[in-house]
Amino acid sequence: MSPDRRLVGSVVAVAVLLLTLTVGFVSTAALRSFETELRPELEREATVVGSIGAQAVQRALDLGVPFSGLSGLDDYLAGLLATREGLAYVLLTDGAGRVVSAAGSAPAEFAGLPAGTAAPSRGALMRVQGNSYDAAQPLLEEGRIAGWLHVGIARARLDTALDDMRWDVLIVLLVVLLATAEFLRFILSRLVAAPIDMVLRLQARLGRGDWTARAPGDIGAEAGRVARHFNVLVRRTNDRWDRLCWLAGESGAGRRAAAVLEDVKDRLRFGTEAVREGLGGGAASARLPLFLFVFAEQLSTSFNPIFAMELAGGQQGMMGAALPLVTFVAAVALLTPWGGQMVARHGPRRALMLGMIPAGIGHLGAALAPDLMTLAAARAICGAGYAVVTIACQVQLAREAAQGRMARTLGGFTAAVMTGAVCGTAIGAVLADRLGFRLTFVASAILVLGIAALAWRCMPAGGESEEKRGGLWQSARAAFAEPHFILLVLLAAIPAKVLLGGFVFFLAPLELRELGLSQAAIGRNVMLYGLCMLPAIMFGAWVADRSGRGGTIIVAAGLLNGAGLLAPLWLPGHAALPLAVIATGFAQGLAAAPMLAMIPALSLRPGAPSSAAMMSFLRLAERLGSVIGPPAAAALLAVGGGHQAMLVLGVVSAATALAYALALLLGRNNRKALA
Amino acid sequence: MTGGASFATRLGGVLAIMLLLGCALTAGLNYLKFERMLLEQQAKVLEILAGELGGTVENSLALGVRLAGVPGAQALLERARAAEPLIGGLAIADSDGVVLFDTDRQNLGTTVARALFDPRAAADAWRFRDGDRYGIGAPIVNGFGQLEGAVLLRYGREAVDERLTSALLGMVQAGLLALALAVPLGILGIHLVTRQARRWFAAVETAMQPGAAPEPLASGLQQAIAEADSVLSDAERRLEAIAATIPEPNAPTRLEPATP
Amino acid sequence: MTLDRRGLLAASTLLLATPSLAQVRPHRITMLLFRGWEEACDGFRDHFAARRIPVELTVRDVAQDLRRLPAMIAEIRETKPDLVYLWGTSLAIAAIGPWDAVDPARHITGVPVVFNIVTDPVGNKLVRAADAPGRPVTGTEYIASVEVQMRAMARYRAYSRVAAIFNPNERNSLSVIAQMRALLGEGLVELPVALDGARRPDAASIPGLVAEARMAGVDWLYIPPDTFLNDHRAVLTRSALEAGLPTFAASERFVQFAEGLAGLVSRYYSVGAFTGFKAEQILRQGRAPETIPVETLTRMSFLVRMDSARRLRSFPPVGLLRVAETV
Repeated sequence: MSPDRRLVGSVVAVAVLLLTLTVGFVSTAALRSFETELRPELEREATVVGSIGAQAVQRALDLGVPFSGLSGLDDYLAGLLATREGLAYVLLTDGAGRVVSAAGSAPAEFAGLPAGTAAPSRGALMRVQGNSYDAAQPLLEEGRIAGWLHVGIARARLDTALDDMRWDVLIVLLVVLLATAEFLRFILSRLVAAPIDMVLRLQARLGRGDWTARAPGDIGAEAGRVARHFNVLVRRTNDRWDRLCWLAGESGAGRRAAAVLEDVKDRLRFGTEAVREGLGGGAASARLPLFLFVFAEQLSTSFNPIFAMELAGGQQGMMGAALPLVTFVAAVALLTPWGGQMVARHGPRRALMLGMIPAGIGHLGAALAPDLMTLAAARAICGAGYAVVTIACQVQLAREAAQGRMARTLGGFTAAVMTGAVCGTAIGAVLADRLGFRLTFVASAILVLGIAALAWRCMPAGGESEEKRGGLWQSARAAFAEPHFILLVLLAAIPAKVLLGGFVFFLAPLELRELGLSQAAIGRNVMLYGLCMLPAIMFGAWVADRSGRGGTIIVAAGLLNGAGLLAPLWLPGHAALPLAVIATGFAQGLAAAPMLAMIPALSLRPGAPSSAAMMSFLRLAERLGSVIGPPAAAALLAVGGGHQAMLVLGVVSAATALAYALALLLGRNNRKALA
Repeated sequence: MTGGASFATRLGGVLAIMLLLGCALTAGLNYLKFERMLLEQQAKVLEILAGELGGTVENSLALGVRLAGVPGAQALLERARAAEPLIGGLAIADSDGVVLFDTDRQNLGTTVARALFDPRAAADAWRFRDGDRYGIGAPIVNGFGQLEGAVLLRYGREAVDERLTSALLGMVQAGLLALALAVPLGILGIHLVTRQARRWFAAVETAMQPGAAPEPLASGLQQAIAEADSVLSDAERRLEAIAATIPEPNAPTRLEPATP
Repeated sequence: MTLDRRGLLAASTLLLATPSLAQVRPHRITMLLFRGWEEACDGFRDHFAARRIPVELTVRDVAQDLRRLPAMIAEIRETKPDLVYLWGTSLAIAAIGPWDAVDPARHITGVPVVFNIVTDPVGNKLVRAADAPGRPVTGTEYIASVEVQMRAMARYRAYSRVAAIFNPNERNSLSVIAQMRALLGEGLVELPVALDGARRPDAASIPGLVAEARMAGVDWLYIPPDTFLNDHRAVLTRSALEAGLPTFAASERFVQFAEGLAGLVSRYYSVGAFTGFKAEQILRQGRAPETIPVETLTRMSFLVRMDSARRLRSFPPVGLLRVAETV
């Protein structure tokens, strides 16, 4: 009984294939039409520069200087080349096309115009010579063509622009693909995967003779029809039971009839359960709201510092630009434990809806902010919402995770956050460009409203943990009294984030700039991190669920990360840095899901706080690591230079991973000894 | 999400929307980038022209005239304008912003807005906006290093817009073509890959109908139903048999349907 | 004492043209001229017109006779104008005296002074130093520095030896030759014009000197801003041309109105405008003349006589032609 386990995979594959082909086709067409449209403009530049350059030579000829007597040509052409940016070459040929003087680097394919070439009636003679656009201006001596002045504009400029556009298209494609995958996954899990699980569960109950179950009535599509049919079937069967009872009553042979009914009751149960069967496992109902929420939040990432600088009027400098970022991160870090408590008290659904309130207010506040301080305050309010909503979604995902799929479901959390961040940042930049900063914030606020509606409709209620209430302080003490949790935080979570913040977001950009890379290229290199992390999350989660060895994966990830940062020992910088970024992305992705998946199990131990509280402490610790990372890397950089800083970070990562492995081994032996 | 449309249709719908979004984003992003590039390129060429005119005027100044007396300045501007169709208008203003020469002779003697005339930019050319028109100013520096005035070159976006429109048309055409192919293909593809799941749902649905034919896909369910059915049918038969053998009408002892 | 008609006209039109400006009282400037109103005065006057600065010009001309000067200085003392404009080196020396020996009885004091068309104001002690005049006097030089001229010469045609012809009686020329000597050393061939018994320069010696330069195998014949040579420029440039020697002059007349090949020259009009600019700094911006440096134009005209170039078969390089003015 397998209604296609690979359904998500194949649907996403169809989507990826078609989207890639379509976007690829459109962008190819776009790039081709740009080349056609931009080329005349480049040629115009060559013509204008050429006509200016030809004027002086023509003047000399007009003044009676014979073409053969022209002097100072090399200097003149070199001067012309130097004053105009972007020219590939300037050269002068005689009437027969022989080069008389040249500056710059003409392509090897360059051929002068043959004798007898007619002068254009206006402007210049345009040709393509090798990889340059060539504009040739005729030089007249007593009415006859005595020579040509050629100006070449390298195609390189056009090519660079086209390259940039290709990268943009690639990013758009990525964003659309990731977002599409999120939407498809949401529909599939809600309308296919979860209903199939539900049907199988109901079927199992029927198989056990349990005819009390009812399917939920609020799902759509085929699943909805199946649910309705199921309810009809159950109702019909219950009706038959009712008829049997009536029949037994009518029969008059009380004892024999009762025996028949007893026989039936031995094998089947009837009636109506108070609680309907839920969609339950694998519904992942929090994933889409989470994705959209992070998306809305990250719309402003690309321009936040610029907006802050604008509001500050350029007075506060770098500190002013960083202020809203700082207040946001600080609010998230400080309020995450409180968010965990709130989720524990109200349940994920209500907590999420409550979290949308500060988030929406924060976005609106940022949109209307008249000055830097208001913006910083608005961003802090957003941070409060972010803290609550992310924890609520995380807990909801953990609640709905099917048995044996905990790591994969929680990996989905990290994946949704990453995807939302990548998509939001990219689209936010475009929106800001078109709508302006303030309207982009308004868009975020509207989106938040939409997410609240979605969560209200799609997320199941409940999930309050009655028994594990208690103060923040108590739950913190309880959490950190759990040795395994402390080890996880100190030896895995914090080192990972220190590396992330210190290396990927701080050291790598600086070192890449040292290597002479452009800003765009640096951005792409840093993006490698996210690109490698996404598949690694899924892979790590899959392996963790399969093997049940989350701890081992975390250790392996730490070692891999360390090894990646040691790359400069063997490789030159331009290869080692991207490799280290890739290794970091992959390693962090691998460890992400197993780390989260350990929490629910840990929270079941006696004395441990709720899983919501523990997750919030884990995330708080991660934030701490992210905050420590950059200054730590900066200090290392100041002491010993970039390579040394990388090596130290790598060694730290490997060492903490080994220590964590040792602790796990000792713990296992202890347990064995106890057993 | 309680409507009746098949999940495959909904997936197809999402895919179609995302295809549209992807095409629109690609086209939109590229359009913006292209617009910036074209404007920049055009301004660059015109800046060269304005700078060259400024240089010519400066050379004339060195011959010993005031800016207002540069011989042939008006003709110089008119020739330059005629030679380059991009140029909307050319003017030379003195350092107070008074127009001394202009291809639009009506403007002679008027004062240009201070915003268009940036005397701080004595060293480099500058760019300005005048309503919906763009402009480039090139400084004219006299023989003793003082800003004497400026060449003001005005131009419209028409040429750029023309190119942009044709590029946009190209993209829209390609996009429509791609969508016309990809959307049906996508819907078809999704229907194909979800065939098994839909069949399973259909099988489950049919299996629950009374008297359904055997459904291999829903055999477990059918088995459970059949089991219950046989138990109930068996009980019915037995009860009916009892009712048939004992016809005496006793006081009926009503039994409630029991729930264990 | 003649009052130039054009000057008067200029003053009156300026007053008429600018009634609406905030500056109600025009600046009063007294112009002392040496040989009448010419282009430098046009440039000075037109600068105020172009900048819309109302000025009232009082023009006094000594007509090459410095004996008329004391009366004019007396008038200046009486009328106390806002600024005095002096034209020419000798008039300036007579009117303000050397900076270290000012005689208030004979010289103009207490009024800011700008001078125009003056050579070597430092050597002539009009100011202490070019960048810090040391007295309320400033102005412009119209001859480019020797170094700039030598560079301009090399830009046309590289040289290793240069001959310079000059009148040994002119202080001005001697100072230029001294600077050239410092710059070129052995590469300079000095050709002083022969003096007759009355120690007056003898024009008849010029062709001989040119031939001498030719024999020395020099690449250029340099002509300093020399009044005597200016008077005999036709002979000088013609014989150089016949000897196949390219000539480079420091003032425009040798090229414009003779057959000299090239020269780096300031237009009198532009120098006048520059002087007007310095006057504006004093009148309008209230700068003390002591703080305004004495300068030459930053941009001069490179004059080339194409007829001579063709005859010498020595054409200017293309890059130079781009900026050069041909006659």
